[in-house]
Amino acid sequence: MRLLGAAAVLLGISVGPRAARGAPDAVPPAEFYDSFGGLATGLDLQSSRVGYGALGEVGVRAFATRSLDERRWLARWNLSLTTKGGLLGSALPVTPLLGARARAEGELGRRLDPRARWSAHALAEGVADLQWLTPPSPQPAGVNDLTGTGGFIATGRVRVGLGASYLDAAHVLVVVGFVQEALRPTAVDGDGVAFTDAGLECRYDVARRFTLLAEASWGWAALARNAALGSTDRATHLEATGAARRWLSERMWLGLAATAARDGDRVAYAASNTSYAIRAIPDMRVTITYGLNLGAR
Amino acid sequence: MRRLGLVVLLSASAGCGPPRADWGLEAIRSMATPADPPLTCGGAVPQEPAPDLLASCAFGAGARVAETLGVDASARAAIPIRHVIVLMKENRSFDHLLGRLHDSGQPETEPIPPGYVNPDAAGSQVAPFHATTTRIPWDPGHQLGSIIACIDQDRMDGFVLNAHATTRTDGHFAMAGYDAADLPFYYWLAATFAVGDRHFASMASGTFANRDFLLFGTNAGVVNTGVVYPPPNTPSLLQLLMNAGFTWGVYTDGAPFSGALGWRSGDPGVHSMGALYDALDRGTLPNVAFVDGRGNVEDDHPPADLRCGEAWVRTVYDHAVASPQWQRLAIIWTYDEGGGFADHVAPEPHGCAPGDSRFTQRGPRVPLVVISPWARRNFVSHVVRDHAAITRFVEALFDLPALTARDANSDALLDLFDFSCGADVTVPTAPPAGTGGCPP
Repeated sequence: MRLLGAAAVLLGISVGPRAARGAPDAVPPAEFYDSFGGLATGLDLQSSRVGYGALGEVGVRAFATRSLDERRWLARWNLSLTTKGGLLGSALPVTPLLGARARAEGELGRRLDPRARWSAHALAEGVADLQWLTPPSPQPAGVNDLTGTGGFIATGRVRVGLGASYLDAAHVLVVVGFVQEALRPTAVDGDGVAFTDAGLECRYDVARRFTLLAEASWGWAALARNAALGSTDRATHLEATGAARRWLSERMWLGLAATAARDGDRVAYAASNTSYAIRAIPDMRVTITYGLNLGAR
Repeated sequence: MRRLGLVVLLSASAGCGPPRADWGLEAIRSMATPADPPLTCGGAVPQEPAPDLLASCAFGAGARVAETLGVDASARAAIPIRHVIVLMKENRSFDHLLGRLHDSGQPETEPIPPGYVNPDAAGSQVAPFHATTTRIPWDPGHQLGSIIACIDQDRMDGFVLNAHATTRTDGHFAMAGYDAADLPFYYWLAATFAVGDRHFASMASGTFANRDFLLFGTNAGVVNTGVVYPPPNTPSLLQLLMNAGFTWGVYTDGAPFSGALGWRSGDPGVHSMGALYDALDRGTLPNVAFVDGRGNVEDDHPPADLRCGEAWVRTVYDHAVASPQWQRLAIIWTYDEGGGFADHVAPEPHGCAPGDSRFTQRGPRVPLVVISPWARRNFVSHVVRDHAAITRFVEALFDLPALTARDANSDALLDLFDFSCGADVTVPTAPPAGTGGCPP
């Protein structure tokens, strides 16, 4: 409790008795609720180590954000199942890719002072993303490196965060510092690598209006050893994302997101006491999405 | 190579061209080349202790030449070479460039068989013929799919059809070849020094993958030349040299390594050709120098005029033989891949799989000539090898571990040398190179 109180003080949030903030509500407060279920499509423009690309998705998607139990809990989920395809400039002229993607996100936050609009906030989140993209026509022997974009890609994360939230019937603001374990592809034709990241997340939802998200993280992977050459490799990952979603009407929304990320490595050779601070080509991505609600909101 | 014109918003907003990797090699700027030990001779090329193990790809990354080739510390100490120039040019096969060497001073090389032909699209059989120009204006397809089609299950008869399919021609030019009258200096080098007539491209593909095999012992995820580069944390010959206190440099007035790593002028270790000539003249050449001509001009890549590239090599040669480091120098003149030009020798056997890559199919033969006071004179090596042998040669000279199973199980070019104290180390008189051909 002392830790939470200290955190709240740092965040400028009062967690004192309710009398210090005004009279308690006479009726249970209205819960925040915003949801979507329907068709979604998107276009992803990327520039990365494996080349530049334009990849589109179309499929079904459902997401919702809602408070529960008189604003004690804040839950969010996001599910999508899409076909995905497009062109990747990993070869000249381009490499066509076609496949599918499934993504599931779930987040549960606990508001420590549910009766107040501002509260200390703790959350846990899990994300799983499975994607399979392949050149649709037979390719002789192989194509250029498609790490992170082509082939079977399984990524995900488990995140815990601590910070503050503002919640009323129409607005949600969550600001947390977090730590997470994230699975990312890094090597050519290799397994994913688990990173431990630390970061900041800020998310603002206005029901039936818009959502804004900004987050940044930095993390590192476990030391990888190359016994044959006597070297070790410590991979790092730096990433920042900004996203916005705007409801155009009761049934449609438009989203825009931008992500910049960069992998780094420190390769060290113990026998010669030499090391190399390496940075990969940055990954940059702009995603435009559109959703059409098919059900009642 | 340049990226195509598909503009990414964030890339454009970042300005200054496409984003690039940082290979972490900044330290090479301040490294000093160690002083050469006293000149020695008398080193005999050791017998390979276990040729059957090499043939079965038994060795892996980390293996040293003492174990794989019998080059132990005493044998290495007796090798006088301490500086290597890797002069890797572009896109010419052995038959295309040196196919008439058998009749031009080196009868030990295999002539082009009289019956060797390639069918064209009309079904006619096209035999090798004497090229009528040193500037062939067409560039046949030479990435993975094209070269596999050229090799055609070791029949080596797909070059004309591939050239027809990838250029607006009948493809016959893929069978063209040159003789000593066309390229007097090239032919003189091959007939005077030591030539390997079973040197293949490391991979049946283009520039990027083959140059990656030279530097990394693997194609590192690069199959076709394009806009993908190896991950910069891939273990490299450059790192191994620096770990052992030796130096390297890339000398070019064009794209370093022909663009295979996405490097530019001004990057760590990259220098101009003027700096190469200056280093040779002063005796300050690094231990390993990679030398690349300007694309489509001096590097012999079609549509370059070969006379220009030949004159450029002559300039490098003239500075080398006049250098105070000549007695410690070996120039390895070769080509990254055959460029889709015909060659009659099937690339067999396959190379060893370099661990993370499944690519073992080698590409067609390319010229390989070792130019050195210690190169065997008028010699032909028939040892089957690829660019990993150049990698292994550097690893042998400087006691470096193998990067992958490809170079671990390779020979190290040592049969092309005579390190005995009675070897002919005089500088022979060279004919002039052809003139003209260079753009104004």
